[in-house]
Amino acid sequence: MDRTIVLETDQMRVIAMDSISYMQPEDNGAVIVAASNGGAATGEHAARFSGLVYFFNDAGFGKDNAGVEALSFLEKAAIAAGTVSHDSARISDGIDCYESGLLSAVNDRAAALGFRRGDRLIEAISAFVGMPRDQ
Amino acid sequence: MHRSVEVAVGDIKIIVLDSISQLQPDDAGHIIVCGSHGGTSAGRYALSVPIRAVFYNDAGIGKDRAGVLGIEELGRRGIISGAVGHNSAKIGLGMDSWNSGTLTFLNQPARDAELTIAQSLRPTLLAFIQRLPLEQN
Repeated sequence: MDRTIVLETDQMRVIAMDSISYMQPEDNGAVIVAASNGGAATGEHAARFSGLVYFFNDAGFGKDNAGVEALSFLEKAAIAAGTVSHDSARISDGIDCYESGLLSAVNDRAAALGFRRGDRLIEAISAFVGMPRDQ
Repeated sequence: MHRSVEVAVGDIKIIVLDSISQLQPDDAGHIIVCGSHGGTSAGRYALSVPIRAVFYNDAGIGKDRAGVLGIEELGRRGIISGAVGHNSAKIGLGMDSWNSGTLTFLNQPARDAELTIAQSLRPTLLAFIQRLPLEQN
């Protein structure tokens, strides 16, 4: 599946997609799990929308940590973001990133929302979505 | 996002993109170097335009070889494709693949075209594009 609502509450939706390029304006405000690499171009694309939190695949970090560059880029744009490790979840498979991904990196904004490196993404999102919200 | 034509030999160009999602109908027949991973969605994008060959970033290969699955699928459709290593080129940056990438993975049509892994992408493609007109005649 290219793009699927994997969790929905009265207040929030969680949408898994195989690529950030599948994001739609109607996804604004949702938790986005996009199985793109977490590189700079992905961050730039994500910043054109208003996802509440973004998660990508770290693509093994790679040269100059390019696979997680989106996190610092989005941090500067005051957007929470994290990555799951490329060995825990298939890149380009949004559902697998959501269901099997282990968080390998988070930016400060995401950490402030309770996301931690080493967390199982599905559990961390469940906790986040169930969290009392005052914003 | 970056897009440039780095080389043109006859009617065939080597076009560098940051993302395969930037592919356009005019790119038909040309060789594409992109900074995308070689996973399934990236492979699908490449099928939207009849390109001659396409090269990705292997994204560390990863779980179930997900980083190159799209490349394998392109191979089953007879399209030359491969990947550079994620430690040799920054994922998401097509120009870094072009300037610094080292091939780590090739599908069967690429191997049939006598491309070889562990070689730098740029000289490999410069040699490949020179061979093409002869192969077509």
